[in-house]
Amino acid sequence: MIETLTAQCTLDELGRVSTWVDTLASQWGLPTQTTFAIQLCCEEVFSNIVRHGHTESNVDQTDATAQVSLSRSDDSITLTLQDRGPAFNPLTVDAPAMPSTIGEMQIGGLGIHLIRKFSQDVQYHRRDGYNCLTMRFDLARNPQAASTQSPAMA
Amino acid sequence: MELNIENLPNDVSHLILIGKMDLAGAQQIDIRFSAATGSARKALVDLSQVSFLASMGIRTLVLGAKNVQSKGGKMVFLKPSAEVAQVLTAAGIDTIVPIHQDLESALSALSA
Repeated sequence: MIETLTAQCTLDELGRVSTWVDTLASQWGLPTQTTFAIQLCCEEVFSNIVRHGHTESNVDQTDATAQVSLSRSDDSITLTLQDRGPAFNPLTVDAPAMPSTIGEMQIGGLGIHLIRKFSQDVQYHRRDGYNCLTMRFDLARNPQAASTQSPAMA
Repeated sequence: MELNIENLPNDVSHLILIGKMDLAGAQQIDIRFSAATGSARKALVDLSQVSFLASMGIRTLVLGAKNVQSKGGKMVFLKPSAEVAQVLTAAGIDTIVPIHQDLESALSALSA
């Protein structure tokens, strides 16, 4: 079972995407923890797509839509986000160092760090001009188990 | 997202966040939260009614913590849900701004 939403690559669409995820999660009877994890990863990836892939400098050159897909198997949910922005593998971004003082606290890179923490697997590939990021959420596990991401070559 | 502010005894500012701290929510309260933390020496950030927290929400909280701590003040988090606490822990902010699950221990920490 797979459901797909097409959204414009603007931050204004985050609310609509979030509502769509909530509706599906409710229909599928997903646990609260799983829904939270999916929402978190979806927000982080989508906002990254908008902020880094579809800026004013390239908006005329790229298809300004992204596809958000959710699919379900017996034991996991898969979230996929695809966009036609410039090639970018977010899994190559270093995780922020854990801070010991407030001055060391970094927000840059935090999104992908949270995605790795809250999903069980993260995969990136670039194909036919699309960035494609796929995250798996196991239904019977703690959503904060570390993921085993293995970035493919772009 | 909403932000309600209460003044408690002993100069404690009770900052009550309500709703989803996603990107939109963070933007809605960013300025007021910054102002409130800028004038607080003891900031009790109540997360008990926060249903969601993402990186832009963390950014708002971090900037607030910097505001408070730059003036020699203290900030603590109160009663985040299990999921919100997991986000705070994953981000490493819980080692800098302690999490308390009851009001009494939070107030004690602010007065220590």
